[in-house]
Amino acid sequence: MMAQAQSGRPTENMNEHCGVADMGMSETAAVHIRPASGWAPLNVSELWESRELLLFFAWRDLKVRYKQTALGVSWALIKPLSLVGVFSVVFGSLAKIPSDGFPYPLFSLCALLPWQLFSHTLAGASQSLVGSQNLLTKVYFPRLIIPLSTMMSGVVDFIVAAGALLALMGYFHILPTPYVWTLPLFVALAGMISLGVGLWLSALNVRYRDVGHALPFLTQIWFFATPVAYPISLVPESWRIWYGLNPMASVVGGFRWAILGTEGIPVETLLLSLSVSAAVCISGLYYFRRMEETFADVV
Amino acid sequence: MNDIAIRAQGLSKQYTIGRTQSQWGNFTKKATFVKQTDADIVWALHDVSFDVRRGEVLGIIGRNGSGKSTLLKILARITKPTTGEADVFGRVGSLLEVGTGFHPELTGRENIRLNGAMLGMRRAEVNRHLDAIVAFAEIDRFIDTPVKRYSSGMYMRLAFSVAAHMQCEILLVDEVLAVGDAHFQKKCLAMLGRQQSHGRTVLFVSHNTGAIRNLCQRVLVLRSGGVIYDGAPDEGIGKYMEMVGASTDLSLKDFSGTLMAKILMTSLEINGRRGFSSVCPEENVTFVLKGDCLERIPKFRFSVSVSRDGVRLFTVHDVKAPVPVEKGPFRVTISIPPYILRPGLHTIGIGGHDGGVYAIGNDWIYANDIASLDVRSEWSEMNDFGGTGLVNVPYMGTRECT
Repeated sequence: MMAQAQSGRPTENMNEHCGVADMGMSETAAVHIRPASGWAPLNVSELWESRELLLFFAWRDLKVRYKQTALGVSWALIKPLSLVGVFSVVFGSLAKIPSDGFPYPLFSLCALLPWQLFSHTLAGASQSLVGSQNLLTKVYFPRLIIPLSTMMSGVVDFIVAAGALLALMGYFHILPTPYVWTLPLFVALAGMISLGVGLWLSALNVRYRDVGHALPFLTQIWFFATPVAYPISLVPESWRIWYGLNPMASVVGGFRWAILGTEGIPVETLLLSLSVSAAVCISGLYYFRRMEETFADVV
Repeated sequence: MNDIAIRAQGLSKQYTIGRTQSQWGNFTKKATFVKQTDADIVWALHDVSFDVRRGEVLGIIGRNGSGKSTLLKILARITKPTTGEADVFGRVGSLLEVGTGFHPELTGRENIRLNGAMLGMRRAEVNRHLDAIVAFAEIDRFIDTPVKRYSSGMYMRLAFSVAAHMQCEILLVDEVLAVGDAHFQKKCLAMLGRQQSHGRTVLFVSHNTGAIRNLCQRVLVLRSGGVIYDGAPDEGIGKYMEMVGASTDLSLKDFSGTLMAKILMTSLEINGRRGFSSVCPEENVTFVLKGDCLERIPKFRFSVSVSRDGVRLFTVHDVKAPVPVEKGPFRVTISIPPYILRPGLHTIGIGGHDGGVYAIGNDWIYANDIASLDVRSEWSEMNDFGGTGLVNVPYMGTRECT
């Protein structure tokens, strides 16, 4: 019976060159499929397996972002520099906001660098899953890769914009402080809080599209709650500890301290920021993992 | 070594529909402890259990909404079952939709890499198969052009090609053959057919019963989320056709022509069955067409047309030259001898016309897809064994050895 059925199969030579004949069978991987179980542990090995895909997504985001633009990657410079221009005129020249004795453009760019990394990650990550609906419902891979990759492409923009900071420092003849080596730590802190909030927003946005509406003014409020356009020294002493609850305040303070040598942030404030970031990040990861199993159904 | 590739036990998937579309409604409902009623719940899949052996090609058929795609999505880990579990032994490649994840701005080459990574291929693996992928898709000249400039055919060919070259032990394919031109469809089918000889397990969802018959050793027939048949393709396709052709009421069919108001077809039986019938190659196939003539027609011939895969094979008539049809009920019998039709699914059209030659002003009536006729694959010396063909010519030649 079986042989008969097979002989009905097309036998023409389809003149193709496909390489299915040399299928190398990899070791058998058993996958157990279960109903959604609520809290799922983080599958690190699976994430690691997909690292190539992560890079691919980040690369695709970058490549596509500046495709068919006349100015290309210089947008990564134009965006922060034009903001610095506006800030310098409005806050620096008109509102006469003090800048701890440094040229206002330099003072604000120092803070804008990490801030833009943060706000871009939030904007990108919150839309990332919803923007990849066709992937979520058709292909399987660890979903964490999607928001992670938007962050990676933000880092590339950050590095390009850092070039503008160097140029500005050269222009104002200002050398970095000896503590400039601590910068990566503050970048890491910024990355942690960006990732944490980004994960929450991306997963929430799948079910509640309200995120898209709330995000712009949420970012704006957060911007004013962070000493980007003004120095922390304007804030009354007794309030400053509460600024530690906003990890971005510590990041911005840290950047200015490491680059320009403004007043440092107290260790307690830094620790507070660190724990807040860690809490947001870990809870974000778990919330994401919990919602991940239903993404394809509700998106 | 375990020879089971997939073991599914009691897989069910529930979807909530209807009033919960508003998240706020959902929220208030929860907040006010209003219980969800059963009307809001749909079981896309209900208690589905089966085993697939390694190297088996399993066809899954059923009407739209019967749960075929949901089943594949669960096995591909895209969505979780509501209850039940499954074990999948081996790397899974899924081809649920052609071109998923292609980015229009990227070139063909870049999309191959990206898509390969998405399907779980290593970079080296993709590079190794790059030439084969490009050749199979027949897009060599456009490989460095952004895919947004591709024709839809090129786009699809490339997408299928990437997925088909993926190295996996289990391949899930969902109705992707509905796309592409006939040449490419054939190529894809041949490609799928070869998977099995490489020891790959294939789960193949399709409405194309011909492809199912050619490729699969076993079929699952799904109805409303449940398995109603699990076994040999011929019988499974029969069950499916019975389901699809459930409406045997000819008054619901789309007749057209100038004689629509004069002739009322009421029933068509093929070897005594309506809607769907299955015959052996060595059987006579007898069509019995009944109806009412509402007004005398001076010249008329009834006809039965047999088509396969959309190609009309032939038309047979009840009488050689047109003769009158009197007012009142009629019964037309047309037989075709054995060994004319080849194994496979045929669709039957019925109608008639007033003369021998087609010309403008002819009176006629016709409707396609009135019934399905399945010819089982039982072979004899009267059939041509190898190759394919649309019709069987039961005549032999002679041989002389000099």
